[in-house]
Amino acid sequence: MMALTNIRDTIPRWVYVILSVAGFVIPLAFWQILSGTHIFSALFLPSPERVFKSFGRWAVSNLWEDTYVSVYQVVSGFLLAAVVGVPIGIYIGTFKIVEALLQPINDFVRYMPASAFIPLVLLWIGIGESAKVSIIFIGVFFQIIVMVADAVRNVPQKYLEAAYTMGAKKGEILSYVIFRGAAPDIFNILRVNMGWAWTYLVIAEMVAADRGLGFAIMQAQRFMDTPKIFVGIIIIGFLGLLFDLSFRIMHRIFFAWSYK
Amino acid sequence: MISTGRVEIKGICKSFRIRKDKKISTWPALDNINLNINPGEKVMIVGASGCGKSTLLRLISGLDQPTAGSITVDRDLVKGPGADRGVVFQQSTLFPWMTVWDNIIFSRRLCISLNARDEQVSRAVYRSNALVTLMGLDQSVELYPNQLSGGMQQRANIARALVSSPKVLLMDEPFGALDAQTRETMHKVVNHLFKVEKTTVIFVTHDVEEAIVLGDRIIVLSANPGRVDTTFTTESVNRDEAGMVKRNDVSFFEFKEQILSRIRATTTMRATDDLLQKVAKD
Repeated sequence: MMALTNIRDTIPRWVYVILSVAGFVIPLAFWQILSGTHIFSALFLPSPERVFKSFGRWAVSNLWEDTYVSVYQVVSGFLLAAVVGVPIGIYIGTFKIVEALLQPINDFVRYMPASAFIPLVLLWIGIGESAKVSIIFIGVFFQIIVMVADAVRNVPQKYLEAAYTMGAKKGEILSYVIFRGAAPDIFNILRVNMGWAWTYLVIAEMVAADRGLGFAIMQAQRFMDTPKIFVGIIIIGFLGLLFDLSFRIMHRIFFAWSYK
Repeated sequence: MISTGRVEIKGICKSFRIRKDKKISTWPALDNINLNINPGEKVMIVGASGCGKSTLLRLISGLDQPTAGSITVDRDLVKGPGADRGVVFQQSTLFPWMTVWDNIIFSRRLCISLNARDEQVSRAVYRSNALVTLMGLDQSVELYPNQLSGGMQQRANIARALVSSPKVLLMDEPFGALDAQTRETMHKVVNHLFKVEKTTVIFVTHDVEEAIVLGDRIIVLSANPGRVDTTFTTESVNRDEAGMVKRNDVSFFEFKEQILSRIRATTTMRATDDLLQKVAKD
């Protein structure tokens, strides 16, 4: 048993898998037992079985459309924020004059909660797709900038100096050293922000939407359809897990060099 | 006939600003350094720690600017870092995101534009391959730096610094972080390298034996501020048929003792100075 509790030590693969599964099974079992005791009304805590049936009903109606709409919006808002935010972050972390110009204002806007922008976005853009994409964009864009800037600053100076002594120019340092060196961290930053993008999507859809997972959850609440709320939340969890996992796998493939 | 790689150091001073007792003062790290280094010469710089030997190397590399004085390489004034002066640092600076091969060919690739002639590309590959073989890296070119041992990493760093045939090779305690056995292997590798590559070498080390084994000329820097204290040539040391310094020879030990006593003298000078100043204050 001692071997499993060594600080930072690896554990056998099978132990890892069993524990990961147990992490899901134990709360599920607890939920089943709790709903079986009827301490809580089924209206507040439906049994796993009822939730599963609700999933079946939703699956044959419009679950896939709702999921597609939500995924599409999350990915668009996130990609837009990444495509614009990553280069800005790189420049802030590299050039002091860009940092001076953009970092203070970025930090100021960053602390404004994205959800507080919802009324403004509705006023300006309406309740269409672009409104939700905008809210996701606002939610992650400023975070991506500040985190990427930090990642870029963390590229050790010794690599920059080595490149200078090999005759590299400014632009070459930026693309071959700073960007390449910070790339694994930037990729992880995007992974984390993908998770946040989901949060903002659901907030946006709850307030103003006619389709999507967040909208469905809101709708279910109005009709006291608690099992469907559960299904909605669990599906978002699964989607998040799926995205996170694909980011992790891609990280291992793209940045094999950063693993020993 | 070697004609490139003459380094002239004239009146170099370097001082750093330091804060002490809420006052900003300047601390002279190097004071009026004058050195002429001939093309192809292997110059070793030794001295007590903190004597400014690494600072001097950074000035020659162009990574730092002197407070006064000038450094020229073949009459070209050093204004900043450049590929004509290769540098090997104590810590490996191989880019971890590139394979050993991509690291080594990096500086050549920078020079080759997209529409380069095949001839240029093949020359770069040829040169890189030659250095890979010379440094014994044939089995490692496809690996990433974190898969190499410390010794192999330094071999790759040396190959990378030499690939664009710099006029001067600057080495800042390149083997300082290696274990004694690996260091000795590296001395053999580098000795062979120095015979093949006729580039000028300026090598900073705190290891006097290393300086004797690898150098033509040994310069002792005194500390606080750094000044040229003594210059030795390694001619008096007996060598074997291959030209390697005999490490077990009496001449080796005597020479080493001469240099060590000079280094000790410079440090005690400083210690007495400090003591005198303290006494004077009280």
